[in-house]
Amino acid sequence: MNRNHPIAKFYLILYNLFQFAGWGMVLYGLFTAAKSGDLNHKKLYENIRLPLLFFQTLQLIEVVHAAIKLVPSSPFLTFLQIISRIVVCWAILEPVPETRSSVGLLLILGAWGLAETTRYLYYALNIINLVPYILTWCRYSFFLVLYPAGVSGELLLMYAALGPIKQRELLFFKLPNPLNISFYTDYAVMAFMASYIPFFPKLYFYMVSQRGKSLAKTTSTKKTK
Amino acid sequence: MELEIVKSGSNETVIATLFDVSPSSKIRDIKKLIHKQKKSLYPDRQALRIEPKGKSLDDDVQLKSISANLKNSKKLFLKDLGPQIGWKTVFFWEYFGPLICYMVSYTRPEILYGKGAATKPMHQVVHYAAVCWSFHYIKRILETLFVHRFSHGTMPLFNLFKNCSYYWGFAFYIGYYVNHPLYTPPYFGSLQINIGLLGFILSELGNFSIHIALRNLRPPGTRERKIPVPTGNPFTTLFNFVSCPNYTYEAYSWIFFTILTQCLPAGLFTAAGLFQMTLWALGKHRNYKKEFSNYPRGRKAIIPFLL
Ligand SMILES: NC(=O)c1ccc[n+]([C@@H]2O[C@H](COP(=O)([O-])OP(=O)(O)OC[C@H]3O[C@@H](n4cnc5c(N)ncnc54)[C@H](OP(=O)(O)O)[C@@H]3O)[C@@H](O)[C@H]2O)c1
Repeated sequence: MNRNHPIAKFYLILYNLFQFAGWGMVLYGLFTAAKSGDLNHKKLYENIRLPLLFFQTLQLIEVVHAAIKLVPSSPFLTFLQIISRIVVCWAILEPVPETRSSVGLLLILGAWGLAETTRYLYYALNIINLVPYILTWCRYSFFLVLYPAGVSGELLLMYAALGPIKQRELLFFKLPNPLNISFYTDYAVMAFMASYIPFFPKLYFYMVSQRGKSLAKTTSTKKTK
Repeated sequence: MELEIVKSGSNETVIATLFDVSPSSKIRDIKKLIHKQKKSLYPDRQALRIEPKGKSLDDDVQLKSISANLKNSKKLFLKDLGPQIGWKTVFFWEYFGPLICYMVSYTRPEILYGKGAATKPMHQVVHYAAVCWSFHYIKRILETLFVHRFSHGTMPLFNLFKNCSYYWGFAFYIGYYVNHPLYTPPYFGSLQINIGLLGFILSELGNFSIHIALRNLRPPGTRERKIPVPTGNPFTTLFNFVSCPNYTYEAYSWIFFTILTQCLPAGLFTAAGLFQMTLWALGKHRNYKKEFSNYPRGRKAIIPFLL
């Protein structure tokens, strides 16, 4: 797929603006709740539930974008970055309502919302080469705080889910059964949490190195102009 | 002649400069000379190449046979393969481990299954599975010792950790369920058990036959490579269809083990092994076609007619 084709560009601009709007809705929900001084999580979650689930799940299409070379990223890395959030949405927040009163929810909404709005706006404007330097800077700096905040939120939510999962034996698959295998969702969640230990530093420092490159590039092009 | 040894990688640094190298010296000798200058880089740890990302030169290659390719810059690129470990150590830990892990669960220890598990009845198929499992890994150890004629004496140390966690982990995972007091025996009873057992035995025989055929391709003490062809042994007919029939038979073994035990973790092990072996087989198949212009057409890599 030629990503410089006008139709490809048009589609990508549209997609990125759509995502920008979606995450804007999530942020807006968080801000109105914060402003009213009522961070009653249950209500908050109900308000942002649809845009959160929809736009987070929609991100899976970015794996396709990468696979057909519409964008230059690796499909596998893209998938890795998205999958943990999909798990948090569909395997934690949705089936275990108790988690919605965890402060983790506020963390992920704030971190994901801010990170994604800057990122998608950056992408959209980048296609038409209209990115102001301040946006590039935001895109490559916010994550220094937002990424750890988001990951902490995800971990807090998963931790909060462990008790209820065990108590309700949610999706447990026990012996004896004709497949001779068993599955304990709480252990699976713990294993998933443990997988953050190797992946988090790797992705984080990868992004730090990207930051250096991108910011250096934009300042040098500014100078030569 | 003078030779510059450059580390391949993003920043090309000169590791050693060799003076007065005779054009008749072999790559093996050059590796020894490098080792003299750089103590940490013993010969097995080095791979020498003409291009930074090119093919590694064989130890028996003579310098003069490649000097035309070296052009004016008398440079060879060295890739550090990392700390090496002898294959005897590797195979021991790699294959002995699964034996132990599986056998531990076979004794139904209290810490795994609770009190009194050892005295609960055990279905006949569980004993069969333990025999099959042990046989497979003992066979592998013996083959490594007495059958295979490997071309490399060592392998990277990191592989040991990677392979051990793979084999030990799966051995424990499968053993845990097959030997579990709550194990459910095969749905189709003795028919399924007999198919599983017979298939497993035949596949192991096939795998062994291929290993013997591969051994006989290579005269002792050499690193020669030839196009493998069927021998008198009927199991080796599979060479007419795929380049790596030993992997094909290995996969069959685990498919039948899965049928025998009706245990999903064994199925997962089968799938993971097949995936890994397919990747290797595709690579070996490509190499065969590159190495031998007369390589038989129509052969696939691992799955007859398909892949
Ligand atoms: N379950 C699993 O996941 C799994 C995975 C891998 C292996 N295995 C088992 O372990 C066995 C050995 O594995 P492997 O990867 O070492 O097998 P392999 O690469 O096919 O080699 C077997 C032996 O034959 C030699 N050989 C191969 N092709 C040759 C040729 N054209 N001419 C002369 N000699 C040749 C090899 O020498 P070189 O040293 O020169 O290659 C090696 O000594 C397999 O057959 C399989 O049963 C199981």
